[in-house]
Parts: sequence; C-alpha cells; structure tokens
Amino acid sequence: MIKRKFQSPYLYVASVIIGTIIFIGGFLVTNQIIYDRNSKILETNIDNFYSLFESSVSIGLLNENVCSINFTEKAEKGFYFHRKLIADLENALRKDDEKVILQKKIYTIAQAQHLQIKTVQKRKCGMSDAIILFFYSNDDENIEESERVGSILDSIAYQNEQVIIYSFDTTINSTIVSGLIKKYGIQHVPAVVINDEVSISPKTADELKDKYLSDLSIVLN
Amino acid sequence: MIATYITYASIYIGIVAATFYILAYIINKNKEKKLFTDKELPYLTIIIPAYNEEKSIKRTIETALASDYPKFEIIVVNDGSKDKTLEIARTMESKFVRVFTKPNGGKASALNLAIAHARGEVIITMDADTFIEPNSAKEMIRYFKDKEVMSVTPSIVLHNPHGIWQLIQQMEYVLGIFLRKVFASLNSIHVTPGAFSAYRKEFFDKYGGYIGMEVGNLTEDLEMALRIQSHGYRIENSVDSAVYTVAPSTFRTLLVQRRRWYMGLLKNMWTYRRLFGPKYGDLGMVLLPLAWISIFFSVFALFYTTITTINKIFTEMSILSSIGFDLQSRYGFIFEPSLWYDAFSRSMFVVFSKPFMIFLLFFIGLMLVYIYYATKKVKKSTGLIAGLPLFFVLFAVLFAFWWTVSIIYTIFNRKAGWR
Repeated sequence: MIKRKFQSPYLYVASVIIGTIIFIGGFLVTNQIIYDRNSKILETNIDNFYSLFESSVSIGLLNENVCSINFTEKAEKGFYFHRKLIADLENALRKDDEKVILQKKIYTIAQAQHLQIKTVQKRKCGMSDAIILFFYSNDDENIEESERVGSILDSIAYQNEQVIIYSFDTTINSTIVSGLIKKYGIQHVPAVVINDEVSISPKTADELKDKYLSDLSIVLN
Repeated sequence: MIATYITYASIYIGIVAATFYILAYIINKNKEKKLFTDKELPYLTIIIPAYNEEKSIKRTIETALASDYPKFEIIVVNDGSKDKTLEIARTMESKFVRVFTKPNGGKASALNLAIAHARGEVIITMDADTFIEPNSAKEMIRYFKDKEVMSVTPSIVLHNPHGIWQLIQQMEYVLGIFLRKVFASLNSIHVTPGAFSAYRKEFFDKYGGYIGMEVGNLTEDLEMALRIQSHGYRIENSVDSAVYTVAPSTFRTLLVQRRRWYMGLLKNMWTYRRLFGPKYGDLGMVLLPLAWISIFFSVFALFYTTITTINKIFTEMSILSSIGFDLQSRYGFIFEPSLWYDAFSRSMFVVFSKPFMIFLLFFIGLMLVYIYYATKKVKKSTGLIAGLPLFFVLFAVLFAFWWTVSIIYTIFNRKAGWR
C-alpha cells in the first residue's frame, strides 16, 4: 500500500482562514444592509412625521384651531408602511435590538401625537373617523395571535378609509404605552380598543365589525 | 435557534471546504504527471455489458471503434437481453469486436466474464448507452504510466438532455467535473463511474473482479473504487476525456437509480469504514467525512424546511380565514401598482438582511466558476442555461429526498433493484 499523504498544513490553515473571512464578510455585508435600512427608516420618519409634529406645536404654541388641521393621506398611510418597515427590521435583527427599540419608540410617540389630535378633532369638530387602538406583543407567546389580529385590523382599515388604527407594542419601555394600558385596564395582549371598549383577541374581521364597529356613524364595507 | 446554528455551521463548513478545493486545485494543477506517450500506450480492452440496449448499442460500439487509440479490442457482453441487442452487436463483430452472450446475471457478472477474456493490460468498462470522443480513451490511458494508478475517470456529461429531470442531472454532472479533478489531486476519488472508467487489469487479477447483486452489492463501480482506495492505490481523472451518457428521464426512474446508488453507498461505506481516519490521508480525514456531513445537513434541511413551510402555510391560512380571505388587504401591493416599488424594496431588504442569502449568492457564484471550468473542458455540455435555475431550485430538495428514501429503505432492509 502506498503511503497516503495529506496536503500541506498551510493549505488547511489557509482554507480555514480564507473561509472564515468569507463567512464573517457575509455577516458584515448583511449588517451594512441593515444599517442602511435603519438610516432610511429614520429619514422616512422625519419626512412623514414632520407635519404631524408641526401641527401639534401649532395647536399648543400658536393656538391654532384644531379643526383646521387636515392630515395628509401621506402621513396616515405612512403609519402603515412605517409599521411594516419596523417589522422587517425586527425580523432582520432581534426584538430587543437597540435600533428596533428606538424605531418603535419614535413610531409610538408619533402615533400618540396623531391620536391626541384626532381624539380632540373627533370630540370638538364632529369628525366621524373610527379610532382603533391595537395593543400587541412580539414575544414568542403572543406573536402569532398578534399578527392574526393585526391582519384583521389591516383588513378593516384597508376597506374603510375612516378607520384609523394605532398600534402599540406593549413590550417596549414607554410611559405612553404603559399609561394607555393602565387607562384601558388591559390584562392580555393582543387587545383592541374601540370607543373605549376593550376586545381581547377578536377571532374574525366580521366579529369585530359586528360587535364593535356597527354602531359607529360610518358606513363599513 | 438550534436550527439556525446548524444551518450556519453547515454554511461555514461548506465555505471552508470550497476554499480548500479551490486552493488544492490551484496548487496541484501544474504538478507534473507521469504520462504515456502515444508509442508507450498499452493494449486496451473496452468492455460493453448490455442488457436490452437495442436502441443505443450500435452507436456505442461505433463511437468506441472511432477512438484514435492505437491498439484496442472491444468486448460486448449480452447479459440475457430480451430485445435485439445481441443481433445488432453480432452484426458488428470483427477482429476488433468480440461478442459474448450469457443468461441474465447482472452487470457485474457480465463485466467479470469480459475481464476473464480481455487481452488488454488496461480495461475500460463502458455502458451500452454511452458515447465518447475519439481522444477520450487515449487521454485517460496515458495516466497508467504511473504504477500507483489503478483507475482513471473521465469527464462525464449527459447526451442531449431533455426535460426537468435530465437538465437537473446535467448540472450535477457538469459541476462534478471540477470536483472530480480536485478529488484526483487529493487522491480522494471514491466513485469510478460505471458509464466509462478505466482500470489496470492487474488489479482485477490480484484483488478479484466486480462484486454484484448476487451478493447484495447494488453499486459495483463504487465498490471497485473503494477497493482500489482501500489497497492504497491512486484513482486519477482525465478531465480532457469527454464522455456522454444517458440518464433517467422521469421522476420515478431517477428515484429508483438514486435509491440504488445511495443504498449502495451506505452499504459499501460501512464495508469500507476503515477508509475513515488519518491512515487514508485527505480521503479519510477530509473528503469522506465532508461527504457524510453534507448528506446529514441536506436531510436535516429538508425536514426543517418542510416543517417550517407547512407551519407557515397553516398560519397564513388561519390569518386569511380571519379576514374572510380578503386578499386585497393582505397582499394589497399586488393589486396596487403605486405600491410595487415599496413592496419590491421591502422584499429586497427581507431577502438580503439575512446572511443566508449572501452565502447563497456566494455558492451560486462558486457554481458558475465550476460550470465555466467544465464547459472549457467539455464543449458539448448542453442544456446548462435551462438547467441552472432548475438545479438551484430543485436539486437540494431532491438530493435530501433521495437520501431520506434510501436511508428508510436501508433501515427497513427493503430491496432495491436496477429498475
């Protein structure tokens, strides 16, 4: 039997080193893509929420009539798209990643601002929009159910322009979210609040429409 | 989480292995080989066992006769064919072509009969549905100048592939051309293709002929390669020797073939388990362990992907059911051209924000390099443009599926045949 040889140890070492560099390089490329995306979302934030913050400041500082404020469609659609972008980012990173939490906090404060103005408009200006608050959690125990209920709400909002949904992640450390949870006495998530009434995990879009939205002064599709 | 770790472990091993192969190729490609000159070439016997090959036997013998090899004979063994194989072969009998016939006993028995009558110092075994270039045999036999070389393999591609299954196989064969060359440089070829391989006759005289179905061996060519390796000899590769063969064209016949190959591999690897370990150099410490690791990962990936996909489908159906199958709200972007750009941008991010996809691109690039190398060597490699996407989409799933079936058959001791 001929004596079997190994390749030079240098070949093995070089393969491991080069292979490791390529492997790490793959993660670095991904990190760069995520970093760029995060920056893009922040830019979109500024673009979408500028008019919102400006309106809020005008009411508080310049006593502008709240009924004269008309949010652009862009700002409201921005919520939906922004929520999806953050979900993508969360999927790419981890739910407890600092970037994800920061994006969620910015999103939460923007929504709260919008909610505040819309609530006042509804009370003072006779606007008929239906306001829905959605409390969800992306922890392993609740993520599936949260996604299902989120889809039901998306479906309703998609079909009815007068329905506005505000989504709040209950796992982020936010005094606004904690305050809202306390205000509505929410014990379990996902939970939906419509006209101060709390529904825990509605099963279908029809159930939600029939039970909670039927008495609203808007015509639901 | 464990699945993620296993996936990335397999990717890391795959990248290091690919780097190792490419570096090994670069380092060894210019190493001088001992090669016969035209005048030194030994007498050659080409053996063609045939069972029901009336459609291709004539062309196979013709391409063998058209070889530019200086001194050779052809032995055709009709293995109890029920069609006109024997009659057609008889019409081609001459001083170069001898025809034997025997009751059906399997390929190994037909090969052994021919080996017993062979006059050549070197023997080529050739399937009756295989075609060669005029220089294929000569380029292979040159390697036998090195006394340690007991077998030489060629570059095999499919003859005129058609349909999904053959196009996928074509890609597999083409990718194998580069890898077989690398394995040869590492003295680690562990399969000598039954379609066309050359052997030094002395090896058969010393260590016996083929072991076939009569003793439960499903892959006599694989067993022969492992036997050569176990005795410490070399198996070379002549990448310039183009060989064209025919492959299964339906899902079922392909499954039957792969089940036979993989069950044969499992059984023969167990028989030759001593090949694992430092005594057998790169073969025992790197190539064979890597082959088994890749099989483990592919079967794991199939199960994991199947379970997660089914789970996702059920979740999605549950969501759709909750919203009364309102597809427009769930997949609104499809119906709204103004959202297409955003949807595309989001999809791109979702895809490329996972390192997995970056590594997939790396492996695709690597395969293109392998394909480029193969097409430089075997110019008649057809069907690659159609085969490439099919291969990427289906091969990993098929590979894992064939292995799963083969493992189940082996565990439950089920019989697998040629057809």
